[in-house]
Amino acid sequence: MVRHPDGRLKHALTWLNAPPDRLRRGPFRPDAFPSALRSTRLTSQLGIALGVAFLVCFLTGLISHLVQHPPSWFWWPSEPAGLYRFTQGLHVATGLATVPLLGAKLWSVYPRLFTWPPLKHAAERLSVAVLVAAALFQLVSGLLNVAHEYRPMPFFFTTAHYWAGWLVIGALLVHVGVQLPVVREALRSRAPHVRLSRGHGAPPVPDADRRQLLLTVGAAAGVITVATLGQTVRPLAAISALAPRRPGTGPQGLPINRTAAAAGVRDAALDPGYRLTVTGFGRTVELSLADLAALPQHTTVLPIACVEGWSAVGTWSGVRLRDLAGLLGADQADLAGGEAEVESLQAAGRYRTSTVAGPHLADDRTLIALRLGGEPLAVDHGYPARLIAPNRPGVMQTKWLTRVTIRSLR
Amino acid sequence: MRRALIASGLLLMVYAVVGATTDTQVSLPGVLIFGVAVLALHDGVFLPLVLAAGALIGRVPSRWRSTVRAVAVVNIAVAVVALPLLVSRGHDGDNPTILPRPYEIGLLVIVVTTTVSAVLCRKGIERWRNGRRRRPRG
Repeated sequence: MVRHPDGRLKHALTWLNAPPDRLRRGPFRPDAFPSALRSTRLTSQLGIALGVAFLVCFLTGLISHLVQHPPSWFWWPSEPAGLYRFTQGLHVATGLATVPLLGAKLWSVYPRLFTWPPLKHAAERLSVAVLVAAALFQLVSGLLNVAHEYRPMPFFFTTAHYWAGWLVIGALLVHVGVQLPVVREALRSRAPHVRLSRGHGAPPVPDADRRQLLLTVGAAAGVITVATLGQTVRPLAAISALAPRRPGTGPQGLPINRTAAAAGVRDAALDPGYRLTVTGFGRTVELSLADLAALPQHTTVLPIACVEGWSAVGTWSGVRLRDLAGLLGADQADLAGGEAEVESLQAAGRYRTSTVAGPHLADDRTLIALRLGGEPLAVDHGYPARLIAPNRPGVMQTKWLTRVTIRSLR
Repeated sequence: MRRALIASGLLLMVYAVVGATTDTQVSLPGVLIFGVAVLALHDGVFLPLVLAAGALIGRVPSRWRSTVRAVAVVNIAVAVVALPLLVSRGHDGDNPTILPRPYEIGLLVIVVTTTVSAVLCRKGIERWRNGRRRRPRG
C-alpha cells in the first residue's frame, strides 16, 4: 500500500539524478581512464579533421545521388569525362581514410560516456549518441559495400546510406553548435589544455605527445589510402594490397560488377536474332548487329567509374547515340531539350533502364558501343551493345541494350 | 552563430528522418537494428579491447612506447579496413574481378612493413639525436 505517492516519486527522481556514490564503480570511477594523452585540444583538432572529412564525403555523395536521380533543377555536364570518376573516387577514399580519425576521436571522448551521474545532461548525451551511431553507420556500411559483404546489412544499402548521410551532417552541425565555446577555448594557443577525464589541477598534456598521436593517426589514414587507392588510380594498382578492385583485371582489361549470367541475359544476348529497337518521332527502326556495325563508327576513350569508388579506362567503338536519332529523321534541333531512354535485356532490377539527356545526349562521345579495345564487347561487358557516355556513373552505362526510345520534350 | 548551427542541424536531422521513413526502399527496422548494433559493438566490445591494448602499451619502456603505440594504431586501423575484405564472399560466384587479390597476404605485408619502418625510423631518430649531442656547438 502506497502511503505517500508524491514522496516516493520525488525520492525516485532524486535518486536517479544523484545516485549514491557507492554505485560509482568500474568505468564510472573518476580515475577509470588514466591515459595521459587525452585533452580537449586533441579532441578539438580531431574533430576539425573529421568535420572536413565528413563534409567532403557528404558533398561528393550528394553529387553521386543527384546524378543518378536528377531533380528538374539539376544540371550535370558531360565534360570533363572523368569528373564523376574523381568525385566518387574521392568519396570512397575519404571514407576509408576517416576510419582511424573516427576511431581516435571516439577513443578520446570515451570517458564522457561514463560521466557521473549517468542521467546528467541526458538530452545532449542522447544527441551525441545519434551522431556517433550515424557516423559509425556511414563508415561501416560504406566499407561493407565496397567489400561486397552484404550479409550484416538487413537493408538496401544505397538508400539507407543516402538518408544516413543527411542525419550525420545534421547531427554534426548540432554538435559543432553545442561545442563551439569548448573548441574555441581548447584551440587558443596559450590556454592550459584541460584533460577530459581528470579534474583541474592535472598537468596539461605536453604538445609533443599530442602532436605525435595526431601524426600517428594521420599515418594510419595515409597507409589505408595508399593500400586502397589503386582501385581507381591505375599507377598505384601494383602496391594497393587492400584495394577491392584492380583496373586491368577482367575480360578485355576492365572489371565487372554484374555478369551476364547474374543478370539472366546470357541467352538473350548471344541470340543471333538480336535486334536493337530504336523508336521515336513517330518511327521505329529495328537494327541487327550487322546493321549497327554498318553505320558510321566512332572511337572514344572513356572511363567506367563505379559508385564503389573504383574506375578503369577503356577504348570504346560504336555508333553515336545522336546518329541513331538521325535514323528516325530527327536532327540536332529536335534533340535539344530531348532525352533518350535506353533499356536493357535484363528483365528486372533497378538499373535496367537509364536516361540520357542534356549535354550527354548531344555529346560526340556518347556511344552505343559495340567494341572494346578493338574486339567485340565481351558478353559480361554488355554484348551486343551497351551505352557508354562521358562523366557518368557505371550503373547508368546500361549493358545489353535492347531498346532506345528518343523523345523530344517540346 | 551557435543557434543557427543547432537550428539548421536539427532541420537536416528532421529531413533525414522524414525522408527515411517515407522512402519505400528503406527498410527502417533493418537500419535501426544495424545502427544500434554497430554502436553497441563499438562502445561495448571494440573500445574496451583498444583500452586494454593501451594499458599494455603503457607497460612498454618509455623509450619505445611511442613507437609501439604508432605501430599499434596504424595496424589496428588497417586491420579494421581489411576485415570485411577477408571475410567477404563477394568473390565467390562467376565474377573473379570482385576482390581479386590475396588480402590475407596483403594485410600481413602491410603489418610487417609498417612495423619494420617504425622500428627503423625510431633507430634513425635516436642515432640522429645522439649525433647532435656529440657534435660540438657553435
